[in-house]
Amino acid sequence: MMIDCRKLTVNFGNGEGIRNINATFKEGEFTLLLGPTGCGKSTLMRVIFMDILPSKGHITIRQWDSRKINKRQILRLRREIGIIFQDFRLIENLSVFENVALPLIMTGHSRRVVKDRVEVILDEVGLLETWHQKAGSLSGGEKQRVAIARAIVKNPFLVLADEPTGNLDPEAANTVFELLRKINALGTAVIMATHNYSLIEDTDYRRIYMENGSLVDL
Amino acid sequence: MRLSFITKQTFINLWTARVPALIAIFTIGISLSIVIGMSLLGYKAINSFDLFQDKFEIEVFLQPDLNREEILRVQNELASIHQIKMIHYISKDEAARIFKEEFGEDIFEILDDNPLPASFNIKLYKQMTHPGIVENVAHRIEVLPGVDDVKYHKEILILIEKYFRLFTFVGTGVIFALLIAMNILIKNTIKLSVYARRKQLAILQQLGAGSFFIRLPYIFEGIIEGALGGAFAGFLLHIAFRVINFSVQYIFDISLAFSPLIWTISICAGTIMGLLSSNRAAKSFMYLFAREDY
Repeated sequence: MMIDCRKLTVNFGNGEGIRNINATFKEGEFTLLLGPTGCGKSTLMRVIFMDILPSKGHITIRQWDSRKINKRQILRLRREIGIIFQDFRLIENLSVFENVALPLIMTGHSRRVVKDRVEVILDEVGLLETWHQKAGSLSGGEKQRVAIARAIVKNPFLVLADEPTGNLDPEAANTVFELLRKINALGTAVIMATHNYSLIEDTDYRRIYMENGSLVDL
Repeated sequence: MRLSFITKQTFINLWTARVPALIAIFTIGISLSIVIGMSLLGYKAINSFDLFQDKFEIEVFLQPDLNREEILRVQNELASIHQIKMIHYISKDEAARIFKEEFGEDIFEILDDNPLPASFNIKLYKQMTHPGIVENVAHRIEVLPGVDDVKYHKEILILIEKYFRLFTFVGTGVIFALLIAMNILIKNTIKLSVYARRKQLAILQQLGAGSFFIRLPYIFEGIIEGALGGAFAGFLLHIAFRVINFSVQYIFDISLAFSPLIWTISICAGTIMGLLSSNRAAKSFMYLFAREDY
């Protein structure tokens, strides 16, 4: 099992959060996390990359257990997970190349490895021509493709995509979704939170529904 | 790759916050030049005080017509005072010789007799040359049988002691105040820099960047500001030395030598100051600001 959630509860103190979630996620699986805005999808995502720790219950992601994990291990976990956000979270004054290269640079890879790997990934997401442009100058769809490239450049075992198409027009949303499908086809597990039902209606991926911080139907 | 990325980030940070950075460099320069200038003055003052303590003497004049045994008795009494380091006997004849050396005239030719008394020149241990101790020792000597008079530069001793204390007290205070001011300045510049890039910090943390990787550009920024401030302080000191030498050379026969060591010291001091302040600032502010937007 890749991820195991047991009675997972996060309490923000204002009624929001997630309550008593029991769920498991397998290696290489594509899971769609569905539900209205504010239902707790993003909170669950944040718990998975240990941006927040559970108030009650626990989560185990491969060898990392939320009950025992320390700061250094959280960083190691994040280096093995790719994260994609609705608002892209790129460093806008850096070039496309530098943004994608960041996860490799911070882990001390050589210039040659970084260059080769980033070029391959940028080619995969169709942005090789724009490698030198500042991230801030790109369109929304291009920014999200850069974010995807940054998420997969380090060969993660899991990609978390929190509403990745939320800020995109239908065509760009479709491109991004297709890229995620391609990543999954190569063996990487993907957990994608979305409420864009038209985008996923023809897929047979596993669906998890959330409402008011709880799982509705597994 | 990591180093070139961090270096680039450092210069981007410096350029983004260039006005506060320039203010920090100038203020560090001015403060550091005052700190180093005062330290040099302090060093010179300590040396002069040391020299004065080395040369400080008490003259013990003996009553006329003491015989050899009585003189020896006084000498033994003096030797038993533990504050005394050295005793030198000056006979009437030696006193006449010293008089001739100092004034160029023979006392026998002027007066047909030698009225100069025999005396002991006494040196105290360095740490015993404080006015209170000297006065105490002088009182003990005055009452010894055979001693006519005891003389020393009491007023000068009191004056030097008083000003030396005042200078040490004020100088230390000023140096500490300026060091604190420099620390606050660098800290504030880094704070601004960290705040301006708070989104970037949050992104880096979410990607799994270690604290040191995130902090390094800010530490480099502090080091550069400190080193430039130090170089500016060296330049200010160089100018100050030239001005001082130019103004006082007609009055006193002294000149202050500006050695390259002063440049080295001021640049090193600025760099260390920058390193410590920026590291502390980056550490405390990176977690404070990183969460504000995400």
